[in-house]
Amino acid sequence: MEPIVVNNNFKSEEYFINMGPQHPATHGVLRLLLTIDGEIIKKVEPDLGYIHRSIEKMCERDSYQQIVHLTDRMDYLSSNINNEAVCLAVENALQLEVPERVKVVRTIIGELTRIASHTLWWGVTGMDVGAFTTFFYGFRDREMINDIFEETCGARLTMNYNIPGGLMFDIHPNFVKRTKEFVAHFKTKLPEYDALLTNNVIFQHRTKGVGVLTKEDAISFGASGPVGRASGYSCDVRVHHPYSALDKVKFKEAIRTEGDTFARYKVRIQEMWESLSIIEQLIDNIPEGDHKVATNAVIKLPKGEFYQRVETARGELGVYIISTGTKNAHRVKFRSPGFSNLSLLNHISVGSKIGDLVAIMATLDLVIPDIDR
Amino acid sequence: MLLSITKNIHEWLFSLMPENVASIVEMTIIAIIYLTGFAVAGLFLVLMERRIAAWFQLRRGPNRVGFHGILQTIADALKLVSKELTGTIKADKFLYNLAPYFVIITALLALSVLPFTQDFQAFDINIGILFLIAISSIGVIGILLAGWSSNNKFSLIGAMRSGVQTISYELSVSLSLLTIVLMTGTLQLSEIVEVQKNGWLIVQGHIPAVIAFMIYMIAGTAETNRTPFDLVEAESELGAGFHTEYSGMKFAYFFLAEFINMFIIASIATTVFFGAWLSPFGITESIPLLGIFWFLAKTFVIVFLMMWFRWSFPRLRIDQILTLEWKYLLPINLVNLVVMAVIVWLGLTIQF
Amino acid sequence: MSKITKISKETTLSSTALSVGSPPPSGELEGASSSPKGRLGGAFMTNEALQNIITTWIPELEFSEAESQFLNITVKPELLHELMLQLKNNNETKFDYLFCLSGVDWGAELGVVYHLESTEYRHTIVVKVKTADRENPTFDTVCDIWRTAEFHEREVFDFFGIKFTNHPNLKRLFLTDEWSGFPLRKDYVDEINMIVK
Repeated sequence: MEPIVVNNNFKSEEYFINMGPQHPATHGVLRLLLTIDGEIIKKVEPDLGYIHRSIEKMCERDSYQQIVHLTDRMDYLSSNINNEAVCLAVENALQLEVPERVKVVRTIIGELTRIASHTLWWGVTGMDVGAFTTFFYGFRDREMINDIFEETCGARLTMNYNIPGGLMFDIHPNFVKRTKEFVAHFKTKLPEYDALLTNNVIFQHRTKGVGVLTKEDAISFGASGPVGRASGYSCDVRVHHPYSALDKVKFKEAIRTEGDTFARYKVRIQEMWESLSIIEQLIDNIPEGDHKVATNAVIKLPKGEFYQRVETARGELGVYIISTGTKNAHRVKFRSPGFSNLSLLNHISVGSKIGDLVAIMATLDLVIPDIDR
Repeated sequence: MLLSITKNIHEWLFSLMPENVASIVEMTIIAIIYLTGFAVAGLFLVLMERRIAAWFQLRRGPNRVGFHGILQTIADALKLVSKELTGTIKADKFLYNLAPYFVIITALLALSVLPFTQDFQAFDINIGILFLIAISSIGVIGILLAGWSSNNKFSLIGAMRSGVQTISYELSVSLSLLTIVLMTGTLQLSEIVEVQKNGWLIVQGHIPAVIAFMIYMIAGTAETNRTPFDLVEAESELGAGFHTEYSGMKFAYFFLAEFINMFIIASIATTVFFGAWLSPFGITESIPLLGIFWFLAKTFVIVFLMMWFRWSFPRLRIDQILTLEWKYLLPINLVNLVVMAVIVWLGLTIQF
Repeated sequence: MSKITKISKETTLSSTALSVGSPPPSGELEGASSSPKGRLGGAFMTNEALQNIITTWIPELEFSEAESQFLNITVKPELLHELMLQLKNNNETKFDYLFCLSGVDWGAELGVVYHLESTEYRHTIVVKVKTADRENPTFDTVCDIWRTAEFHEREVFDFFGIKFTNHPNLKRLFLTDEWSGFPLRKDYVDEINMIVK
């Protein structure tokens, strides 16, 4: 009888998939070139540039007041913090002391922006793992913040509220009242978030132990924001290099040590609580005073190099301005948090499933215009 | 009353024409009734799903077209009918066009054996449950064909997931129904209903029946590819899964079939666990026509349950789905079957 | 599902208690990051201290604190990798966080600016490397030292045409492969798409 020969050398075949540029999970025009074996991811290669607008080049052409408006279009979910970063850089360069009122208002609006960004993130994270209802809960609360912004400066998303030297207008008389209303409202709604998603068994299974990033890798990859903090790496710029009124408030830096998707999720939930606490500490005593100091119509920075770090909702944003003493910058570089956080995607998602990749991307919280500056 | 109407029509038809022609005409009439019911039920379920989703999601849902949006889905259907049928260039045309019919016809076939009320059952076959299980497994072929023939990798991944998932969960559906069949001693649906005149089977079989019902609901949800088991479509992962490349009416078939399948899964649960058209405590026993009301009421409660799952749970991962089935549901099911057998053997069932 | 039992063991949230108001430096604030205070001489270093220690490794470096809030080191391209390796690995400096890597066109020279921070001691430093060769500017890669440099160097390559030797995957990142020219250079001309004021 002939022996039956079994071919043990059979190799499973890898194949290639284009995820994006139009894909629901990439949250924008990010294209991922995936090499997949069945359901298991072998390689992720991001392909960028679909909405690159060369903001850095435009910054070399425009005046410093104009630059501020361009930064809105980078990370549009934390537009106010981006504006603040450029304003702070310019103010530091001019050695301009802005009024206390400006600092406090900037911080409050910055934290509101952070909450707005995180609520949106929470909604889409739920959607990415398949729970559609979270999206609407997140947007319900974000809407209140957007209404406050609209009343304050007329814009809901790209705010342009900061100018070098202070704020464009003074705050609306209703600002304090409405912010307090929001804080009270959101304190009752945040536990709902836990009830709906955090404590869900399926969600925990989908996220725990997925996409683990060690602390060493987090630092090496330049991870910042909640991504870095979830790996036990204290990287909050608000703590280490406080700006505006952040040196007057007490808050806990949310740090977890697991480094997995669930840890990144929990860090952001915790950050929302901390942001609420920061707002509460400041909202009752906004100092009286001017909302800006006068600057020259044409701002000329002294010759030199200026670097300003701020903590956006996604992590550390750096504004690096090289000035030659003229009204235009010689070079402006934005160190965007999303860019560094994206670079570690391949590292943490190799070996996981397609569904995991979506969960990982959700908690990296990528905003594509922030990457494609 | 209903009985006399159908009987009268039957006799009238047979008196008018020869026997063969009469039966063909009768079959056609029944088919038309079922097809109409099928379409109406599908459209209503879509509307119901959307309204319930809106209710869970702090929205209003469709409420403009017709009274409280009742005509919304009809408008949607008209839109889908009038849409261009697109497709990929290198698709396997024959299979690509065939796939939607597989899915929709199997859904329709399963409808024929359901006992809506006393004697209102198109096809009372003596292996009713077996027929249902067999028919519902054919639907997956349509999904596999759709994914395979679309010439789209995302579709293919979706189809493969569907295959692996449906075949796995088929086991749990069958075994949980088998647990109940132990009590009835028959596969014929009308007789299963008859048995339940002494109490619904979920009450008769108490603990093992409740376990079987839970397993049936989990596996049934997986069979219909709905969240938390909607990996087949998995919007955020695969775009739209196996029906990515379908448009217009072909897409509508898949869409409709999904909802009809949900209705069928709920109907089977109603028939097998909750006494089909029997009213609770026999309160409307004297009016058989109300059986339809009770049947649909029970079914829609279960449908609502499935919609509740969908709008609250995240989606499982493919390996987790398989572990859930093979490592948890299947062993529990087998033990449950033995427990039920012992209970039936010792006569420990609850009878009224 | 094998992990089902582990769910209840949710780790509690550890947080850094923070007392702000004092200036941020030194290992004091590092409550949560496993900062071993007082491990062989590791501590926040002032700019002078940094300058002193770095000079002992490589004498021929230019230091400058003018016109910048950080200590600036200008290094020759051939010494770049050696310096970077020391900055990262030396126990006293431990610059393990490359928080910004920018290409700069100074007109006559092209160069790269590295902003470094030590996550343990929280001192910062800026390293600059320049070359007058505009045709074929080449530096050593640092992505074996900080992995974040891989993407940042690709960006610099994309916009400034600066090549990095030993880079594992040096190709255009944002622009298409067939793009000609390097847009962020000062001498880049695009008459159609660029509005020059």
